[in-house]
Amino acid sequence: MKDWTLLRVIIGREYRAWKKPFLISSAIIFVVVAAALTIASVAADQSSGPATQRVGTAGTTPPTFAREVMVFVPDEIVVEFVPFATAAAAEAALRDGDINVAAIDDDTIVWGDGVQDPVGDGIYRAFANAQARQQASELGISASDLERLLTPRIDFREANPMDPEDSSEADEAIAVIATIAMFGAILAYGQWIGYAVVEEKANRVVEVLLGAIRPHQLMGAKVFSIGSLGLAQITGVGLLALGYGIVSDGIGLPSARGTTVFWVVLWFLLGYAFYGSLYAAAGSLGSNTQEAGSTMGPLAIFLVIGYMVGLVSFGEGFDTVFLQVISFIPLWAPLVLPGRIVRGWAAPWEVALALVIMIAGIYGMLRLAGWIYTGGVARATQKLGWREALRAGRELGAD
Amino acid sequence: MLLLDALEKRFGDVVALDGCSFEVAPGQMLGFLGPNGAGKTTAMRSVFGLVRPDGGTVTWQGHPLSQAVRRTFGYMPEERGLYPKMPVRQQVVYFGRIHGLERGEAEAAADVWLEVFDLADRTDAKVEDLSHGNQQRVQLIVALIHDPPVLVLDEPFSGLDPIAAHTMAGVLRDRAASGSAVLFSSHQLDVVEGLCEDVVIINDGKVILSGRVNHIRAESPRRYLDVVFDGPFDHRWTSNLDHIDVVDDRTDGARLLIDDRVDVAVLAATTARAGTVAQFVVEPPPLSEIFREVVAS
Repeated sequence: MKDWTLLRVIIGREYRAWKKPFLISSAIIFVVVAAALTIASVAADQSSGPATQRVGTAGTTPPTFAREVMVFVPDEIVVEFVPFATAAAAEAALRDGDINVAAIDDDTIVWGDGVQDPVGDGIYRAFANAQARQQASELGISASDLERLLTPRIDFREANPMDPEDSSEADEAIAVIATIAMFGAILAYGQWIGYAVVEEKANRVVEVLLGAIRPHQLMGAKVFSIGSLGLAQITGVGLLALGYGIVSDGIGLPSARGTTVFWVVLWFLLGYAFYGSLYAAAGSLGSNTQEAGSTMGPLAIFLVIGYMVGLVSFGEGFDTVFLQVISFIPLWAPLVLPGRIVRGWAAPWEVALALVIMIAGIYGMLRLAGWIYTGGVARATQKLGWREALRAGRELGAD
Repeated sequence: MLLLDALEKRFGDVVALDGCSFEVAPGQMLGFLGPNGAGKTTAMRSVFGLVRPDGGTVTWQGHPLSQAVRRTFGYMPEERGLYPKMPVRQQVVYFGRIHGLERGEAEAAADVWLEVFDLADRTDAKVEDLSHGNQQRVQLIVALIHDPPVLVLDEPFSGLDPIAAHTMAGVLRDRAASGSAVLFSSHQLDVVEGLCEDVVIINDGKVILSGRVNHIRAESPRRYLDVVFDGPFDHRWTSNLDHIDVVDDRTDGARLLIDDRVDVAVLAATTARAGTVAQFVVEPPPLSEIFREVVAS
């Protein structure tokens, strides 16, 4: 039997074994995410203020005010004009929250609570323009001269216009989201891998399996199968959020460059593979799930360091030697390098070298995990330290 | 031929194997005996690469063992290794595939073996829901399903009831008869004696006795005599006999330990004078006694 066929058989069993927990946890996560999106959407609607703005008028407002409001206030905002007999009545209605803005005579605007740009800015500019037209008429300025006065003649340029090849906010947003997602995914699904390993060790199945398959192959199949389930789950959550956003017209896919997406996905997968192997090794140190929980705990420290450094690297002026060095270390490269690549801070040779080191690190970690795993088989009833397990594994002659 | 040649293995200060050598030929069923900690499990695990010997070699048909060759072997570890929540048939098919069978082959073989071991009605049961004996049967099927040329079983009879032990013994005989090299360890020496033609006894990592069971027993200078009288007999019939020990003095006779200086013909005549003899059987000591003797020495 070819090795690939053997791996396929093992991966298939892992999928069957994890099918039920995967479906249950996915259903729970999807429900939670959908609920969170709904709550967030409702909260956003409330914080953005009402879609209809009620503008109270009292006295003689500039004649073109209503028309100017239609020009300057965004189309999605419905502006309703409510006339009041006196300024006092309008201001009383404002205090009671019956209206959002009061326009009084030709020189006063009073804002109520919750009026924000662009609505507030639009109403202000509309009132100013209407006031200017009224004064121009009183001064005898012709309509055409007035249009010239009101039409800005400004040569507005950016000193450093954006190159289409430069990173955009969308690019950086994708990189940040990928860093956060990787952190969360590794924390959650890495533990799945660790627990799967210790379970197989605790029930001694591994001894039968290792008679037929090399330890690093067994590890690799486990990391791949459970890791891919985790990736499927997180992809599903992402698609759910995106679909929800599209349906509710709230968000859309950021228009990031293809190269950005390529790099973040590549480093996401590399980081996932590396930490997945590390969690497999950590899980094999315990003799039961409780012990495996404690042996996997310290890995979170490495993850948090990488996560914090990774997010800091998105700030301006942080491309230090420290960041350059840490980008070559497999523990942290997946969390730090995507941000540097997106911002154009990582030279091509740095990326290439980091990739080579990362791939070598994954290979080494798979072998290391295999040794540690094999070392654990002989001492299934006790918790092992990293060095002890490694020594035992090498002594036992893991391939 | 599976050959374990001059195996050496040390775990810290503990010597697990100390020049251990023996071989199992195709079609041979070899009982592997030794007290706890003698090195049996270490030797068996070395066949599957679960232990790397410090010295010596393990070969099959004259060649060192590769992973591909080991995959064709069948192994039943002392600590049973099954997925507790996996259904029986699915589990057996899975291990068949791990050992190189195609899906269809594995399914067909699983059905045959589950029938042989009277587990055909438990195919969908989770392993953890089976009795200990049935779990043991499933473990053996896992080792057998791919028709291995070499079968290595560490304490296969441990915890089995007599019926299950009988079934397992029958299957092992069949495997050997069909050409497999069968190596198994056991502390149940009566089972080994009844099942194997050949044994290897190991102690402190060294082979201290090996060969045909009959030869080993026959080479002992001692014999046991079992006498049963029909009716009344002279209970003092052994009092004037030299070089004997009465091991068991019963109301219908006795069991005597005699050494090689005793003339059996004279003994038979003496016995006949004591009463009507219904049974007079002289036999070499059982394997369990020889085992205790060689291990103690």
